[in-house]
Amino acid sequence: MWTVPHIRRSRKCARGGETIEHLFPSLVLLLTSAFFGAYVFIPVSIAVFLFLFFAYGNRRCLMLIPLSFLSLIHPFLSIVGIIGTLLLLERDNFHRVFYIVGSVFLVFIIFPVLSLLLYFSPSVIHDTSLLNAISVSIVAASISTIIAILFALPLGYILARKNFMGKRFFEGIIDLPIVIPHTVAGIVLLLVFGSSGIWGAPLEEIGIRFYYAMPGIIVAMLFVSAPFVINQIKEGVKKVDERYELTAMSLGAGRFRVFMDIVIPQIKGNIMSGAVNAWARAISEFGAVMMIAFYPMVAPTYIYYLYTNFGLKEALPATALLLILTLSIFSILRYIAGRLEND
Amino acid sequence: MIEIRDLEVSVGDFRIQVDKLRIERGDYLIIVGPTGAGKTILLETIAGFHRVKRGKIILNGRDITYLSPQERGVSMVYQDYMLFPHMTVEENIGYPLKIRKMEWRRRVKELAEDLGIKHLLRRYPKTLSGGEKQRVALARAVIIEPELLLLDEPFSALDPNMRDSARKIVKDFIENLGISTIHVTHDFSDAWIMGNKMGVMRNGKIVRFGLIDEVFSSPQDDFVARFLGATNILRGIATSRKDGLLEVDVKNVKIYTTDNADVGEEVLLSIRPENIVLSYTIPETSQRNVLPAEIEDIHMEGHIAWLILKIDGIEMKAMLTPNAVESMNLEKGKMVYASFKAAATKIVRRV
Repeated sequence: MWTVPHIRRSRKCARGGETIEHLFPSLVLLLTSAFFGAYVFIPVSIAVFLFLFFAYGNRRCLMLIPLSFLSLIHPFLSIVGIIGTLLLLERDNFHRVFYIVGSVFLVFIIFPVLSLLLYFSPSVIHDTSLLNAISVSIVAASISTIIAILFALPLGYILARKNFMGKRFFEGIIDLPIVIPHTVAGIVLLLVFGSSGIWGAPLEEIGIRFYYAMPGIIVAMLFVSAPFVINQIKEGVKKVDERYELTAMSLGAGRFRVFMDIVIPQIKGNIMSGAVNAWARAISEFGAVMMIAFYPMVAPTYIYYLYTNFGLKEALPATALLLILTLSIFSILRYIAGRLEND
Repeated sequence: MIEIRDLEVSVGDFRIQVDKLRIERGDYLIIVGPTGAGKTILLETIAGFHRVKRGKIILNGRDITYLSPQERGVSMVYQDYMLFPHMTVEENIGYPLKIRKMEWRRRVKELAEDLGIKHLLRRYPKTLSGGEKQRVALARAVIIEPELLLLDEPFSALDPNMRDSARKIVKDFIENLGISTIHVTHDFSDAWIMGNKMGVMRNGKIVRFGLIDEVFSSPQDDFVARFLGATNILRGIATSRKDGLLEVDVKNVKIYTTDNADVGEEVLLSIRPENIVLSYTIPETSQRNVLPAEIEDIHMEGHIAWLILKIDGIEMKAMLTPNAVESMNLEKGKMVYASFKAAATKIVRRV
């Protein structure tokens, strides 16, 4: 007979009195470490089981520790300890199955990313072309995000507040860049912004060149990332009761003033999270950017160049650095966006 | 003074049509009507939130029909108050002055003190109770001294127990400022306690308009009568007080009440029609009010018989069962005595 420790002794968390489960993170951690082999799995599982023992005060958790040593025989036997945790901390078979299947998918993302990080070597910071590519990426993504916000504020507002003929059609158009293959997007942009394109040619005459130039990168990034900002701002404005605006107007504020004073502060969380998503999308864009401007290289293009010219091994350290940088910037921005939203 | 002429507005499938509505400076107009009568749309139209199809809205001699909301000098308070959630109470109240680049902190403090919300200035709206939110919204609406104040069911979001005290606070406050007010509601207590004029709205039209007691005492329309309910509202002057009873003179008819008012004061009395007892002889009961009356009309409404009584210059409604009407053989034109207790005669408002 298995006891049901997590029901009897589950700890109450201070926030809202909700019980916090430790099973899911433990599973993800154990599964991930299992793929790194016995020498990683054993210390990680000892730490996890000790933690669970202290968290739940259940002595059976300690029994699992010897089981983890089975992985020395064959890494596959790590599964014994993992299944043991599952059986011990969850009684419901339905939840057991969903827990394990759910955590497998997370491992599918986490494990490859972590294994790439192992190839990080500090020497890559001497690779000036890589640093150049990364700064081109960051600058271009930031500029395209700002431009996206400038267009998305009026567009998102109109979509949220007005009803017009073909509204659903236009909303579909806005999402189009998300669904079309990005090389197609690149070709489309090349067609109009290229040196002989309808918009590209006259702009090139006044000195704004898109083909193989920074503006081309920005335009490509803008094209594929703007939908995220537009949709977020639209959703945000929809949630702001229009009577706030009417009330502010009757108190003496003009339309524009109302937008700045009343609407924007209430949707700043949406603006920020839309911007974060758009920025992340822009910095990860490869297909469309490469089509319109292979040079100056953005980071993904540079990685592709390293891989095709020098092979996987040469590309790994640079890729790891790019991964670390984007992950850390992305999590900082997400944290800020989350804070703004909770205000 | 605000005057509305031949106004027609369509919002979605909804249409309101107001041929004539006029109130003077300092008037407090109550508009009642069932849900969906178009009360809120009428207020929003006056505030300038809807495009007017035709007609005129004139505020203190100025045609505001096509002005944008911020140019009208009309403040609107919605029933859920619409306090800006990202601003503190102080910033909310001061917002109209801030827009005009005027000094606002001192004025906000004064107003907050008058309304007893000074301790809330640093708080955010979501931490306030319904009554506190209401006072903040009111302060914000009047801080620029609007020419007209519009209140959309201001008490409906409040706890019923709090409504009476809230009504008193709001009434005294607005009276002190002397701002003309239009207040829509479906609660008649609002009408008696706060208003001096009244309009009844139905299907986008004002079907009755006048002084409160006029409207109540002669609804002139089946719908208005049914909607207003049956209470008799009489306007009179308190003339004397003895033995704990107040004598009120209503068009030379003396009516006694146990409620209190100062002698010489003008009051509104309410007598519920079910409290009126009819008899052919003077009843030997403790009823203080016994008045000779002529039955002007009788009409049946299901299990209720309504009798319209004429007592000298005043008209009152009495409610009986059809059985009672039959057994007493009451008929149109007969003379009866209408009696009701002084305790059942309430002063609903001192005018």
